[in-house]
Formats: sequence, structure tokens, C-alpha cells
Amino acid sequence: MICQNNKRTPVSLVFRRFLLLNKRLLKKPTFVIVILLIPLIALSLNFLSEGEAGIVTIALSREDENDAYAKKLCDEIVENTSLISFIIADDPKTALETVKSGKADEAWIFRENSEERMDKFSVNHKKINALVDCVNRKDTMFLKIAREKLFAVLFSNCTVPVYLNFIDSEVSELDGFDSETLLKYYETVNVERGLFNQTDGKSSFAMPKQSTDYVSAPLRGLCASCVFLLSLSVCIVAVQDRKNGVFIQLPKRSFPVFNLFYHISGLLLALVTMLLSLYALGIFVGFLREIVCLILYAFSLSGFGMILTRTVKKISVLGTLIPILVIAEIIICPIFLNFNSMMSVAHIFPTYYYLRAISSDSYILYFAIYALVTCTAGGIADLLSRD
Amino acid sequence: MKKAFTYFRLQLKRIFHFIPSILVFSLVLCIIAGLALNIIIKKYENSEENKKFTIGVVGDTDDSYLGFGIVTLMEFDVSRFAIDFKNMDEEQAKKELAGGKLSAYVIIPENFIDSASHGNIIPLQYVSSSADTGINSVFKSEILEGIEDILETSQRAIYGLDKAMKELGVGNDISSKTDLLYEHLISLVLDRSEVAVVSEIGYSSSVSFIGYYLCAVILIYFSLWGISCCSHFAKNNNSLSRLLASKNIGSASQIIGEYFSYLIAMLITAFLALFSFTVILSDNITKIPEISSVTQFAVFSLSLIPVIISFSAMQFMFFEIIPDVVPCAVAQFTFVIFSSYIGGLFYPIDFLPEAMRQASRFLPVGAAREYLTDLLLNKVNSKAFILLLIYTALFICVAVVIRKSKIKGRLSVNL
Repeated sequence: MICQNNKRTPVSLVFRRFLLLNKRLLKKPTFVIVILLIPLIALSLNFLSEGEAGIVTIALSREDENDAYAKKLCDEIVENTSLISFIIADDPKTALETVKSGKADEAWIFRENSEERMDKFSVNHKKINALVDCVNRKDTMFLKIAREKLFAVLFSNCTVPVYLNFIDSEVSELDGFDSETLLKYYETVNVERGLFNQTDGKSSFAMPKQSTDYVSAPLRGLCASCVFLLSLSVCIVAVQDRKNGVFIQLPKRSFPVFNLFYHISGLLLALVTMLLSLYALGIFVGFLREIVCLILYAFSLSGFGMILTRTVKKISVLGTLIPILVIAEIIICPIFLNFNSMMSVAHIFPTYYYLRAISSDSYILYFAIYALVTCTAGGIADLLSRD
Repeated sequence: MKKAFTYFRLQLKRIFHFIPSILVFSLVLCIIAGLALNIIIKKYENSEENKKFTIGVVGDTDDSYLGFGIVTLMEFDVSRFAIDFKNMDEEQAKKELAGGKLSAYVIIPENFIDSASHGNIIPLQYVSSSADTGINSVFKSEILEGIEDILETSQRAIYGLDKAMKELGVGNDISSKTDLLYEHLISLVLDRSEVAVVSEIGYSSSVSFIGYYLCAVILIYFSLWGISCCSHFAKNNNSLSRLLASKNIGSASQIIGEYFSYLIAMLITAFLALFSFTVILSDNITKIPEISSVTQFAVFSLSLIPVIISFSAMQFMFFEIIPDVVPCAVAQFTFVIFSSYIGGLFYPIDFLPEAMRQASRFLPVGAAREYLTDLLLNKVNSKAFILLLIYTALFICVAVVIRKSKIKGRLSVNL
């Protein structure tokens, strides 16, 4: 007796197809490895990136250990910088040895009587009144930029004696007032920071703050690369299935939609894992933005995959092309370094748009256009194909 | 022994059949590596024109104060050694930012100076690429923070004086005093580098930035090379191995025969690739500070043999562990990317935290990097060399054990 209630709703049909496709894909260890790799890479990098890191290493020391003013300056220099990692040396000799042995790039040695020197420097800005000896093996661009941090801290502290000495010498009307009273005005005056409004030139408001932790900054890019690699592996499976005639019963007019669904199904688990990893690591830029970018990434990867499977029909050629595409994507897209001269080539990769859209409103639109173009091109290629 | 040697010769014959396809992949990889290194050399070579940052200044610089300020910044400020400031209009700035000639540009609004003189600082638009990631992003933030620190304390001094004179009832000539203090502070800003005395204690014993990345690019190339051989070496079928074992060619002889044929092919391809590399780099090769001539680079290339031996053993081990093409390629690729990052091939190892530096020392990639960078300085790092040898032996042993298990039928992996 035939069951009368054997009606499948479109939703349940789609869900069943999704489950069956994923079951096939999850039986292949490749997909399981890559899906598990995403949170593993994210967590490992996050774990390993804890601890001090810096583009240059500075050995910090003082000629006079009891110099409280120099200690205050050193403490100020050490806090809040991602650029420099510090080694606190017991004495100048140890600091120099650290530089000679290569453990530090430069030694910053505060001379004795630093407060007195600062006072003299505020009046006479000459090296004779210098506070710090900077000793390196070879001066480099990075060291020059790191020294700007030193200059900024020393300048900030120097403005106090400049202010007081100026009042003392040039503003005789304030002679009757002590330093404490005058300093009160310096310290309590309302000064707002925010001289710079950072934008990408297109967005009408400031960009969301990005992580300045450069060690874990590539995390998002690496996760996106894993998903890109997975999407290319889905292409191999798709070509194999087409060759074996697995979906031969489907009418040709449904190829574009089905292939899009096929690719997205293969990626969905990886994308969800990636989203959860990024959330767990606290580098979300906003829930809505993340979801929108991820959906666009899914469509653009699928469109890219659809074009690739119709262009390259041999599995061996596809297998050779995949590592080349992923390597090129890692180098060209702004994951580790930003090669501006390769920007035009980067536009072919979905990962480029994903990384830009995360931090730029205008790129969300370009990303949507890219996804639409690639899916449409992939769909047309499907309709025009002979197999 | 004779049978093992015969097997080795047969493997050699076999591998020479598919060397052309391996060469194609290697050449493409070589081109990508060469182009990447060319860009790094152009970006980081030590020339006066090659500052770390070029920042455009967009605004009405006809204003005498602003124009003077910008000229002062360009000609007299200590930052001129690291940052190049260029005057331009907004259209040109957008074009140059997009083309990579500018790191960023600053838009100074109209009436900025006028407003500032009345104590109202209109924010400046700092326009940079949203693609700035990692280290560039850190540099940008640090520079801007430094400028904000200087400005904040300068404003405190000027507005503090202004407030003090007003509140203490001596406000007759406030603007001339604050103007004079402003001049003192400008002079201090320009002389801020005088607060430190910089000296060098002698020739650097560490490799240059470009030399470091030469080693990194070469190592990434060798690491990824094995992917092209997955389809020829990662095999599921163990029947031939069992047949050979029954003819007294055991797992060790099989692995050694196959490995040495693979190694010879890799050596040939590696040297052809290094030759292509030299051609792609052409004149740029002597811009690497440690390389004075093409001949010296050729000698350096010969010294890469221990690294090639170690990496080929590692790849061979992967072929044995994962005997299926796609999983093997994916596993090798992800291992290479992850270990290259920790091993200091993407960011210089000194930029990474201590935990990563320690982990890197024990990775084959980390040991190879130390070996190569010391080689560039004409030093032999015996520790790294021994570690590479130990890894080679370990990888071969693991491959032998797995092959033995497969022959005995204990290990049946279906990936």
C-alpha cells in the first residue's frame, strides 16, 4: 500500500539534499581535517601570540639605579606599545652586551641626573644635555621609527619644564605664584585627543578599530584561506561527480542553481566553524557585518568554484592549480604583508574582498557585486556547457 | 643489496618519466617566489628614495603657517629619515594611494590654522588603505599616537598658560606670550631627537631584512615543492610493496630506493629552479646586501643541499602517512603554511613572541631558517645542521615503520 502522506516540502527536500551532500563530503578526511584546522589554527596562534612581541627589541637601563625620574620615564616608555619589546637590563654594561650578542637591536641607556638634564634640555635643546644614549649594531628604519616613541615620551615630559621655565623667564606677571599652582593649570586644562579621523577615503565615518596585534592580525586571513582551500577541494569533488554522472538526471536548466547549492553546502560547515572561532577569539567587528561578509564570501567562493570547474575539466590539472591559487592568494591578498603593486591581481580572489569588506563599508557593496558577477558567470558557464 | 639497487634504478627511471610535469609546477612556483622577492627587494632596499612611509599632504598650503609647517616637516624634522611628506591635491593622493605609491594621505581642512589659533582643533582626515594589516597597521597606529602625544602635551602647556594668566588676573598680553611659548614648543619638536645620542658599536652580525626574506622565500618554495609529487608518490595500493617484500626487498630497501630517486629528482628540479630564480631576479640579486655576485649566489645555492635532503624526507614521510592524493596535498599544504608562520618565514622570527620563537627552534622549518641565514653570513650553524640531519633520519624511519605496517597488513588507511 502506497503511503498517502508521502509529500515532501521544498524546505525538507533542500535540507535532505544538504544533509546527503555533507554526509558524502564529511566521509572524506580532507574536509574533516580542514574544518577542524580552522579553530585549531586560530586557537594555536592565539595561544602562541600571547607574550611580548615587537618589531624591534630594546634593552632598557639606567646609569643610576636610584634615579626615580629615569625610572618613571622608563615605565612610561614600556607601557602601551605594540612596536617594541623590551629587555630590562640591570645596568648599562648588561644592556650593551645584550646588543652585542644580538638579543636586542638597540640599548637605551638613561644617563644619571635625568631630571636635571631634562630641565637643562628644556632650555637648551642640544646633545650636550641629552638624556639617553642609544647604542645599536646597525641603525635601521625600524629603529628610527621606534625612537620616535622614545622622543614622544621624552617630549611629553619635557613640556612641563618648558612651561615652567618659560613662565619663569618670560611671564614676570606670574612671578609670585609657585610651581605647584602653575602646574595645576597645566594638568587640569581640558585637552581633547582625536586629531586624526582614520578613514579609507570612501566611508563617511571612521573605520572600526582594527587590532594592532600584528601577530594575531593574520588570523582572519588564514582562516579565510583555509575555507578558500576547502572550496577548491569541493571543486575537485564536483568535477569527479560530473565525470561519474552522479547528477545526470538533473535537467540542464537547473544546473546553475544546483551547482551553487552544491558548492555552498560543502562550505557551510567550514564557514560556521570559522565564524565561531573568530567570535571565541574576540576579533569580531560586529555581528551583522560578520554575517553579511560571510554570506557574501560563501556566494563568491561558490561562484569562483563554478567558473573554475567549467574552465578546468581535468582533475589532474585542477589538482596542480589548487596549491598555486592558494599560495598566490596568501601572498597577494593582504593577510601578512600588503603588496600594493599586486592590488590589481588581488581583485580576482574572493578572500581579498572579504578582508576589505570587514573593515570598509564601501567594500561590502563591491563584494556583493563581485559575488553576483561570479555566480552569474558560473551559472552561464553551466548553461552553455555541453556536459 | 643488488636487488635493492635494482629497485632504486627502476624508481629513478620511473620518476624521470614525470619530471616534466613536476618541472612545470616548480617553474610556476618559482616565478611567484621570484616576483614576491623582487617586490620585497624594491620595497626594502637601503636607498635614500626608499623611505618606510610616504605620506601625502592635501590641503590649502598657501596659508603661510601651514605651508611653512609642511616645509619644516619635510626639510628639518627628524622624521624625514623615515617618512617622506609630499604636497599634492586630493585626486592625485587617491590615485597614488590606490597605486601603492603612498602609505596614506592627510587632508587638512580649510581654516584649520585659523580654528587652531582660536583653540578649536578640527580633526584631520587620515586616509589609508583598509587593506593595511598586521605590521603596517601597527606602524600607522604608533606614528599617529606619537603625534597625538606631542600635540596633547603642547596644547596643555599653551592652554595651561592661557588659563593661568586669565584666572590669576594677569591677562594683559596673553596672545603674545602664548605665541612665544608656541614658538618654543615648535623648536622643541624639531629638536626632539637631540635628547638622545645614537651610536653604532660595529658591524651588524645579523642578516639584513632582504637577506632574511631571500631565505624565507627559498624555504617556502622547497616546502611546497612536494605537493606536485603527491599524485605520483601518495598511493593507496600496497600490493607492489608486498610483492617486493616477498622477493626480499624489505620496507627499508623500498623506502630508501624510492626516497633517493625522489631526492635526485628534487635536487635536479631545485637547481633548475634556482637558476630560473636568478634569471627572474636578474640585477636585483646584488641588491641583497649579503650577495655580492651571481657566483656567490651559486655557491650559496650549493649549500642548500642539507635543507633539500631534510625537506624531501619530510615530504616523503607525508606520502607514506597519507596515501591519497588530495588529502596528502591538503595536509602538506596546511602543515607548510602553519609551520612557516611559526618558523618565522612570513614575519621575521624576532617579531614573534617568545613562545613562537621557542617552538620555531624545534620545527624543521625553523632549523632550516637558522641554518640558511647563518650561511648568508658565511657562518655554519652546526646545531641547526645537526637538527636537520636528525629530522631527516626521523622522517625516513617513520616512513619505514609505516611501510612495514602496510606490508604486514596492520595499517589499512582509506582516506
